[in-house]
Amino acid sequence: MSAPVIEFKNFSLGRDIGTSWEPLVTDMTLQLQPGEILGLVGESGSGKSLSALSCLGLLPAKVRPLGGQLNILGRDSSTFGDEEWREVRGAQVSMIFQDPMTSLDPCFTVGSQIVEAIRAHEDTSAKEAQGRALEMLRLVGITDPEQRFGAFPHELSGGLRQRAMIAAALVMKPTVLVADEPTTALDVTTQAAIIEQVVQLQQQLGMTVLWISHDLGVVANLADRVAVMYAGELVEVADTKRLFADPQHPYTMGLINSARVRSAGEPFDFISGSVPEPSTWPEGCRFAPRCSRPTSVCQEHPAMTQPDSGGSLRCFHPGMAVVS
Amino acid sequence: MSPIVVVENLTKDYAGPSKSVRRAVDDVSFHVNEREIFGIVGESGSGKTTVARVLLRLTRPTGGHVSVAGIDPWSASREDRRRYHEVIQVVFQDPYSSMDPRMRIGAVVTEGLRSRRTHDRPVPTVAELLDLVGLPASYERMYPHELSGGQRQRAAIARALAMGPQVLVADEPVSALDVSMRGQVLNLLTSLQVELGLTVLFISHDLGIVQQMCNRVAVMHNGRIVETGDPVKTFENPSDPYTQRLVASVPRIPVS
Repeated sequence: MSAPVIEFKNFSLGRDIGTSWEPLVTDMTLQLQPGEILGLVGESGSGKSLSALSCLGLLPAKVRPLGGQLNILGRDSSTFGDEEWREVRGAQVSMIFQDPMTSLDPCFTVGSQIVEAIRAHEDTSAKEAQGRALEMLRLVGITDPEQRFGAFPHELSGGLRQRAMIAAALVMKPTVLVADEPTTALDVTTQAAIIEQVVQLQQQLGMTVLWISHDLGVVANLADRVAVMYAGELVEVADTKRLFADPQHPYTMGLINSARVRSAGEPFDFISGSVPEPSTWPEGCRFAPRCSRPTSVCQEHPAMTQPDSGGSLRCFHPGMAVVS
Repeated sequence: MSPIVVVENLTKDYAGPSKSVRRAVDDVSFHVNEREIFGIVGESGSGKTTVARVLLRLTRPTGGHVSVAGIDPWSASREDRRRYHEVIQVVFQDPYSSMDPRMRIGAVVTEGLRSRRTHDRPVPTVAELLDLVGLPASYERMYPHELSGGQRQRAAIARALAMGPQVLVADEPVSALDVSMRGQVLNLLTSLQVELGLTVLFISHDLGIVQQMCNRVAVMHNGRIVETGDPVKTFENPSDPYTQRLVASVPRIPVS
C-alpha cells in the first residue's frame, strides 16, 4: 500500500477552558489512502468536523492539537507555520462546507473567487486564470459557465452555489478534498446530482476524498471505507460493505438501525439517551451509558483494536447483536 | 371516517422581484380524515410548509379555503379564532428557535392555556403535560438550553397538546435531531396519536419516515400536489415523473 495522504496518529484536540484543556477529540488513528473515498460518520459533537478542520489548519480559536501527530502528505503538520498552511490549503488539501452561502463571499462574483483561488497559489495572468475558472465551472456541471462566472452567490440556487464552491475547491487540482456535509442543506434530487459529480471528478482527477456526513445512506452509496466517530473518538473503521452488512460496534449497529426504513406501522429504532457533552464523557467506554448490553468491563476505557475481520474497532464486546 | 381538515383550491402568491408574482401554492386541494396521519412530502420551495402556515393562520391565503373541524380560520369571528387554536396546534422543526430562551419549560408548555376558551375540560397541570411526553416533572424549572434537542422537541409536543387539540401539525419535527434520537420522538408522536385520537399532518422531506408512519401521503412539487395515496404504494410504484425522480434520489442503506 502506498503512503497515506493524511495520517492521524493517536491525535487529540482540546479546547481552552481557562484553567485546563477540555478534550474534544482523543486517540484518533486513521489513515487516508490515496485515491479512496473515506466516509466519516458521527452525530453532532462527535468531533468529525474538528478532525476535518485540522487537516487544513483551520481550527477555531481556543481549539488546538493536544497530542499525537497529524501528517499531511507525509509532513508533520505541527511544524507548519502560517506560510506552510497557506501552501497546503487549496493546492494540496481543499475543503467544501455545508453551507455555500456562508463560505462564498457575498460581495464578489463566484468567478472572481475561483480566479482568486488560482492566483493565490500561482503567478498567472488574470486572463489565463479566468479561462481555467470557466473550464472548472463547466467541469462541475454548470451549463452556462460564462453567465454564471459573473453571478453573485445570492443569485444562484443552492445546488449551483454548491457546484461553484466545488469548482473553487478543485480548481488547483488538490490531492485531497475534505467535504464537510456538503449536501446536507440541499434537496435530495440536488444531493444525488452533486454526489454523482464529486465521484466523477474524484475519478477524473484521481483525488482522495474525506466525506463527512451524518447521513449513513449517503456514505453507504459513496464511500469505499467508513469511519464512525462517537463522543470524540473513532469507534469503528471498516470497508463500507462490511460495515453495513456486519457492524461490530453497538453504536454503529444502533445508528444503522435508526436510519433504516421499516415496514409501515412498525415502531422506529433509536438509541436511548442522548449524545454526551465533552464535559460529561464517561471515564470508561463513552458509549456504555447508551449501550443496550454493557458489562462491568465497560467501566474501563476500551482501546482501538484490529480484529481479524479487518478494520478497527473500539469495543470489549464486538459483534454483540443489539436485541430490540 | 369524516374529514377534519379540508383544503380547497388553496393558492398563495408572494411578491417576487420587480412586480413579478411567485406562486408558492398553486390550487392545492386535499382533506385529512379524523385520526389519520397524513404526510406531505416535497423538497424546499415545494409549498408544503406554506400549506401548513395557512392552516395555522400564520399566512393569509391568496385564494381558496381551508377549514379545520368546521372552522375557517380566515373568516372566523374573533371568538372562533380563539377556539380554532384549541383545535389545531403545531410542533416546529427547530427546537432551538421555537422557544423563548428566557422562559422556563413549565411556562413554555402552559403559556397557551391563558387564552383557552373551552372550560368543559379540566386544565392540565405542567406535571401531567410533561409526563405525557415522557419528561420528568423536575424539568418544569429548567430552561430550554438545558435540554437536549430531543427533550426540547418533547417539550414542544407538550406545549402543543396543552391546548387539547384534535389536529397536530408536525413540520419536520425530527429534521434537526441526531439520527439516533429521531426514533424516540417519532414513536412518541405515534403513540400519542393513538392514545389521544389525534389527527396528524406530518410534513417532511424524509420519505422513509413518512412511509413508516403515515396512512396517506401527498407529494408536492412547485406548489402543486402531484400525487396522493398510500405511502408504501406511492413510493414503491410512483406514477408521477417527479415522484419517481424523488424516490430514485433517496440514498438508501443496503439491506443486510
